[in-house]
Amino acid sequence: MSLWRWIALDLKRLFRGRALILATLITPLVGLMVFASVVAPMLLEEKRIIIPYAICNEDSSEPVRQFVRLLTNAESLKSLTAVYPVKDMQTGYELLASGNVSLLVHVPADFYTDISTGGNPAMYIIASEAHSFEQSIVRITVDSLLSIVGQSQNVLQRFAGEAIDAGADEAAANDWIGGQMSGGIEEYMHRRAALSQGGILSAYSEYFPVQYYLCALFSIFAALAMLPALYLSSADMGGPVVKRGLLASRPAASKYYLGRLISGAALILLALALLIPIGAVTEEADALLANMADTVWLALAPALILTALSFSALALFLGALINRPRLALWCGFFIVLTMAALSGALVAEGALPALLAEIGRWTPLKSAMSLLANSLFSLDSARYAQDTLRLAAMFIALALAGYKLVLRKGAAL
Amino acid sequence: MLIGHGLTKRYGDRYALRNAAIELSSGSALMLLGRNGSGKTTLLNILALAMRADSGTVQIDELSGRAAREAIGFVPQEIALFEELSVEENLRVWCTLPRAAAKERLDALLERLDLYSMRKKLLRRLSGGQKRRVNLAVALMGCPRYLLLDEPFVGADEDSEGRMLELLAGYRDSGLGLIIVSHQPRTLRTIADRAMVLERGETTFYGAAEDYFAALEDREL
Repeated sequence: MSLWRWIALDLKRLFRGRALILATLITPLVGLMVFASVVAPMLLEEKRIIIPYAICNEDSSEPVRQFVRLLTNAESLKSLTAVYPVKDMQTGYELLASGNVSLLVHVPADFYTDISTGGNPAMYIIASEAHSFEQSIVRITVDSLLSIVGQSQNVLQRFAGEAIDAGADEAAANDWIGGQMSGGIEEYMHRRAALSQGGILSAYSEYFPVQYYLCALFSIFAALAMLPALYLSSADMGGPVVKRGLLASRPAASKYYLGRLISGAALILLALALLIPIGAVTEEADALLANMADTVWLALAPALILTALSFSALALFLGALINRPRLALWCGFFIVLTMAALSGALVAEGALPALLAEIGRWTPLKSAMSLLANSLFSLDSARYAQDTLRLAAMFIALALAGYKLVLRKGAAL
Repeated sequence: MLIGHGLTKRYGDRYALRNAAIELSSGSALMLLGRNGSGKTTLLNILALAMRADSGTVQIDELSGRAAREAIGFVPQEIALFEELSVEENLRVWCTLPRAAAKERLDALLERLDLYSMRKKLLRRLSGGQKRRVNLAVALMGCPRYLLLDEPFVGADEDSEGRMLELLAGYRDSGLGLIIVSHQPRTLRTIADRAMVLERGETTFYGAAEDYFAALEDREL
């Protein structure tokens, strides 16, 4: 039988398990609709959840004033917040007590001094328990921005220190730092990309977590869509395919492997093809149109294909390794959950211990998340290339390992 | 001739098969008997080239490689088919013949095994007896020279058993060599001309079927 006929038969085998296929395709849609229902009413009714907050800046230094401007214009908060600058904390507390604002952000007088002297700069976000969600949103953004400002400060101080050691005037060097900080913050305000370690999109970046968790959902459901192929492969390895010697010759085993890899990837692609249009409507309509430039589509197609192939190779590898179908299915499910946890899909990556976060970076799910996020919402070529190479390397490793296992299964005389 | 010589297979410390020797010529039928765990299925799997022996050789008519594999039709005890495919699709999967020849062979087999009317049915919709016939048909698709059957009558009623025996006798008479594993030697009395008995991997009887049945009757008396 030709390879194409074999692929066609394998697709029939996979898609005839109707219950499993429906569960694979429909469950993600249900999950996505539940997720999207938080945002969808906002879009349909053209209402916005606005978080009013007051900000009291007691630090009169120019860099801090720039920083406060950065905070009030942060990408993740711009469309969600209404800012009320207040002269003093008393006014802020009154607004809080009256319910006119949900939060009060306090920047103390010695904030910049603490930054410059390497102290522990602290900002305060005051809210009642009822507004803890809004507090989290603002806190996430502030944490990220403080990190950026702190890192920039360290770099500039290092350069200034080198200049002073080389004989430059100390006062001039300090003025230079101040000027650079202002300029840097100004420059940064016009950048889209966050400089967080998680890449373009992370729960701690400038972006509101909707895009981040949307891509996490896509990737998790793509990974779950590998389970039917995993089950079938495991059943084959312990069943007719081996018993009847279908894998006994290398060409036959290669045909089997390739057929299953492609049919498994087809199912995963189908799941993604259903998810992505539905997920995309959670983006604001005008922003969606503006973002759907040609380059996004050119980036998205290879991202989807590589994601599907990688998870299909993982399914084949596990299926060839574990020859009891039910056990293989459960192992596959828990592996997906583990990858999700380590990749920052369930818990923000910044909250994970460094070792676990590093392990997570080398799972197919993490690279798939990042690739999809780049392709769908914000294309950073360097990051895209890095993630593509990483996912491709994982795909090759899994494909080779799975293929070897399949060949070993079929070896007779 | 299908010849197995000095075949040994171990699982850890346990010998599943020890130094077994077997010969089967075209147009003859050998019944392979023994209790559970005696090594019958292991021997059959090795002869079918579905398993590698730890030592010993299997020779199939001076053939080697793919040709040797294609000369053997193996009917495993379990229904080793794809439940998600139809009868016809299952037969096509395992067929190594060219397309035109495969179609002709397929139609002939389906007719002979009384499966033609259900060729488009998914395998999971068939009864146990019907699945067994498809199991047999798959082994016959490639026009094998030797047919190895592992407990083909398990779960079959008297009628099905009779029909299966008739079919197998017909194939033997047309030149196919048969090795049939069974727990019920009397069922095979009409078809087998040689017998081999295994016990804990060792051969305890190897000879003419009539001699075996005579010894069996003597023991019973």
